Amino acid sequence: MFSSLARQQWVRSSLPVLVAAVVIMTAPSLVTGSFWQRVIILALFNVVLAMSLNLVIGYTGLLALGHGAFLGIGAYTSAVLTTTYEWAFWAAFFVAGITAAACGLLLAVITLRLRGHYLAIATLGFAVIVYQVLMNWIDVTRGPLGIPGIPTPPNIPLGNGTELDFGLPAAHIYLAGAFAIVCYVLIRRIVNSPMGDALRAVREDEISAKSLGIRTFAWKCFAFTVAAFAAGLTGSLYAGYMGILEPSAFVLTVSFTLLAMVIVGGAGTLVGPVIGALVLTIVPEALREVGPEYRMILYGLALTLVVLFFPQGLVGIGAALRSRFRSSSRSKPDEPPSDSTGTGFAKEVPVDAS
Amino acid sequence: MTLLEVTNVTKKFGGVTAIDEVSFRAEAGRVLALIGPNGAGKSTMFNVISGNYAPTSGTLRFDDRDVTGANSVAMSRLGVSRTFQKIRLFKALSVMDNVVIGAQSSAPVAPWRFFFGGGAVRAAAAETRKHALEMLDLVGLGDVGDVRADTLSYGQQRMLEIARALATKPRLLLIDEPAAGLNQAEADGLVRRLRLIRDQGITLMLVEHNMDLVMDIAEDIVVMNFGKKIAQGAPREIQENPDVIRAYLGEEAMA
Repeated sequence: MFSSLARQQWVRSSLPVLVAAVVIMTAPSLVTGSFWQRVIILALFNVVLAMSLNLVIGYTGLLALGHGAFLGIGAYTSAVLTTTYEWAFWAAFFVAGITAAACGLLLAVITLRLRGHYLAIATLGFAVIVYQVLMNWIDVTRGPLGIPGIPTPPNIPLGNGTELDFGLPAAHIYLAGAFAIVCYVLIRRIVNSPMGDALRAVREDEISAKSLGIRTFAWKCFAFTVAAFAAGLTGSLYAGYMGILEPSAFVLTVSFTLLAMVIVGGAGTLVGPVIGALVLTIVPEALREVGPEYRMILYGLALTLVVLFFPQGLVGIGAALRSRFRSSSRSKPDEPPSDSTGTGFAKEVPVDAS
Repeated sequence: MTLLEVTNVTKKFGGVTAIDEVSFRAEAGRVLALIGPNGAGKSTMFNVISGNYAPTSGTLRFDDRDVTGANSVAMSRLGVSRTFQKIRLFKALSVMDNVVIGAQSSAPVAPWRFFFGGGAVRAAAAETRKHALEMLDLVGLGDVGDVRADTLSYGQQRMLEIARALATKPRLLLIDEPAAGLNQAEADGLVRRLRLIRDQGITLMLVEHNMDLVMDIAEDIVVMNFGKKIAQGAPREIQENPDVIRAYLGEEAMA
């Protein structure tokens, strides 16, 4: 029934998902310390944030800097709805995603006439505004006091009499892991289809894309909205896990760290941001053991070195090693690099007129 | 039958008049060349026809429809496709992907439906790839589909742009200086392939400086100079037109 090619494709597309599922299922029993369990959960949130930001930066080539703002919008929407208005968690979860998506679409419509540095500044401004709103809209957000007592997701019965208890970190690992896998699969569906081709066309050359009938503005709005939706949902899970929210969790640094995860991992590739998010969440925590005074210096140095020597990101290292191995084992011409352009940022070039 | 009718089109950039009251028609199934010295307004005319620029005044009719002011997305969907004077490929994508992206715009299945998958979607994807490969074969790039577009030679890149434009299944194809930077052998191949394209019933309009090529392939010629149309006719008439010779070759050629 299955041709060998179809089977090969099925294995290739399912294997990463299965491996990730197994790792997540076993993680709470392998990593028992509460500190490292917390790091894993935050790393999984960052995986989703980096993957979704990559849709905008890596695939569509738009340098958007305010991704942390959508996380904050989702987190606060969810927190306010579940505390002040006593909504059920999962209802608040979806409304958090939709609110963030609506903000993403609005920001897109307003700023997407801009490109390059100008778009970066405008989205940065958006992140500043969101932070200030969280700080100063005291009636709703309680400002710097933060929102305490945010309920966790309700326990999920597992059928055999036990239930997934969100009082324990393990349940949050499972939930964040399942969420990350679902997001990965859905984003892969987008980028490996004509939708992804349209986004790449926008990144590579907008004028050409338009001349081929691609509605570039709509696709840019699409990327922004989907990314904001994912970030908003992540924010809701984050609020449910943390139990308390403060505006300081959504400062600009968050957006820059997410940007670094995308670039360091490999912009415009599927696994790049996953690797970037895991590495840039876990390594700084591991460096705590080295000594707090050198930690951030080492971290910054590592970032600089990766960007300097591997502009394609960490996945670029793997691809380079693989092609070297291949060309030495059997002299086969190199495959074209995966669809990463390195930075991936399209340049603004006027239509030639003469 | 007239496929494209340009009537009194003017395009101004600030105080500069790039096109001044130009009118002409492109007949379906024929090859029309737009020629003239540098700065005559040929590429601007292409940009107006393809919807990259809106004309300042005048009207455009395509296939008996008023398309004045339609943007490039709309014109592409109506069946006007183009290449660019300065090559604008999707450089970091493969040769095949460049053409597939063009082919998708003429595919019957909208991109968002691929999110949900299914048999119709898979069939459409296979059809799109097959069509893209046919276009690559037509321009002689069938065996380099897997390489990155920016690794092709200059001449190949020009042909790839033509294949990408063709993949949208246009009725009118605007080709801007296809022979620029091509050697003689490549230019000969180009003429042969342009004829193949025309024989498929696609109306061609080209801007080109290589006069041998123009006289070889064009059936109608429009000559522009300083934004104005100065002549129109068959190649032989144009070659003998004193205004054209003066504009094109300079006063001394008249001596």
